[in-house]
Amino acid sequence: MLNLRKQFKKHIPYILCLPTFTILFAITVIPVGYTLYTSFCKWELEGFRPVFTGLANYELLFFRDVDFWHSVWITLEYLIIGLSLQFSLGLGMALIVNKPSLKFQGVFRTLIIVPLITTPVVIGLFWRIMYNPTFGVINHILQSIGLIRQPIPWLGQSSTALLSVVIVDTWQWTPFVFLLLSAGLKSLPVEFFEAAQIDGATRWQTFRYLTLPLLRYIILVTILFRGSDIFNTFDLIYVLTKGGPGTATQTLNLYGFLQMFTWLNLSYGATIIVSLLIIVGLFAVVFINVLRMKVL
Amino acid sequence: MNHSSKLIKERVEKIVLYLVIAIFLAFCLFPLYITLVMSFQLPRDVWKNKFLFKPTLDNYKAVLLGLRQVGKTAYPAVANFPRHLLNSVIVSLSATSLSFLLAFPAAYALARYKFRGKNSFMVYAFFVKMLSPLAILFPLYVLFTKLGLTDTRISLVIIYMTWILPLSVWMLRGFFEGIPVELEEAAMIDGCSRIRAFLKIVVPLVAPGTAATLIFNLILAWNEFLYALILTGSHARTAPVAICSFISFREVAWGGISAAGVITALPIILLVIPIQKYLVRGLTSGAVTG
Repeated sequence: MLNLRKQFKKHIPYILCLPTFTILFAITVIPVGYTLYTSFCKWELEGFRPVFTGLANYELLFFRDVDFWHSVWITLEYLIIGLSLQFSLGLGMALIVNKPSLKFQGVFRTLIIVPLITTPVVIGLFWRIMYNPTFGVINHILQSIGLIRQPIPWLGQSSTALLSVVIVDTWQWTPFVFLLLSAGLKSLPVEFFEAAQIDGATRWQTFRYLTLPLLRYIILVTILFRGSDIFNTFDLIYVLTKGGPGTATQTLNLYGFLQMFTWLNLSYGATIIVSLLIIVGLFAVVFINVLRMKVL
Repeated sequence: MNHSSKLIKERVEKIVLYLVIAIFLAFCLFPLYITLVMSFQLPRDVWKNKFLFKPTLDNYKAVLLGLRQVGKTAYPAVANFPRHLLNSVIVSLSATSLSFLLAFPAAYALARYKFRGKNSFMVYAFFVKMLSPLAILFPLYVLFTKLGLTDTRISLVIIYMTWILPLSVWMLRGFFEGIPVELEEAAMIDGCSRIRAFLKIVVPLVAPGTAATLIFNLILAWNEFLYALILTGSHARTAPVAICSFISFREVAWGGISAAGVITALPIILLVIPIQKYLVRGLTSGAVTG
């Protein structure tokens, strides 16, 4: 009797985790496997039957598809510009707001969450209205100040389209970076900074040699989260430009979507999606390992 | 002399900092302000970009009642918005509750017990979070077609529930870890069984964090777009997808879009205000301590 109870107790954590694990497995791992399988096939649309073709799709993708490499490049640009902007703004604001003498910190935090929780589709549509050359607010203001003479078609020309989209992404996610870095700053022991001040360190020196190294862990975590989110960004780009003009904002994610769901090249789309998964996986693995080293 | 000039420098610095904060806040809230303003404008005011205009409730009337025409303005695609809004409500609430039932015990197990496979489980959950929806969209579409579940709310509920799960577990685990084990142990020494200790001690303490997690999940489900776009047709469509369809080829009812946008985004903003502190703590606690 006692033995049975003990056995049961030992297995409690597994029992508690089982439903979650099962659902995650059924609805995530299995479909991914199916997508993987699809990428190794060619779908005959009549009869809806896949025909196994091995690595043919991948050969096409890596060696003969210019659009693929272009979309990888666009994704990289998005990642680098986006992360830099979001980090500089987020870190800057975190440092400023962190001073305990400043009031209204609670109100600030409440208001700052708003871009994070607003529906991305609504955000996209609204920035689209603001970017509109004819009656958009942005051009309106820039023209009244006198900075530009002709209205700029922000989303309509390839030279400014990607930057415009990245700006919207930055607008939405800088608060997130701010919140994470702010929490990190708060967790740093005050004594270090007091000691630095006594030793006569300038603000820049304190920042560079004390704050930054201490924040390294949370900075890496933030890059990991935001980075993987950027790879999967869809709503914003779809609503703002649908990947256009031409292919100016066509990230890898969007390219996969277009191939699979707009142009109905099911197997080729699956190939692109699998390559996206591999890239994100590599990205995550690299960062997690860097994180593990820092912790040790 | 030296002391007072230092004081002035500090004052000026403070003013500059407040200014920077104000500019940043204005930047963050500006688009929403524009949306709000535009939702009260008639089409002719939208085009003129005027600062002063006569506000109208026409847009809201059209959107909330699903009318095709109000006054002189036509709203071509608005017809079923009320129903789509209702779909959003139903789907979000269902997915959130179901996800919570699964995540709550799992989070407690991860916070309190040491067991083999714990770390790999967390890494696994993390990888699920990073998965692009596209990777599972097509197979699930095929599955739902075979089961006859296309264009139903149930299909969305199933997917959302799964998609929300990792973040749910992550946040709840953080909150559970924030409650010292000693409290439960003390209760058990005093004679409570494990379950009773849990119910009497842990549950009240973790309530605000749980509320924050629930609301955040609600937000995620409410705002979701891609799955809803592909898996629903006109019957089970949710609000975000519906808003997207307002941009038709013939006419764009900007006022209608603004009103719909405000209606879609506002409830969330109102929900978040009371739990903001716990929400932030839940999101960041896991990241800071790892």
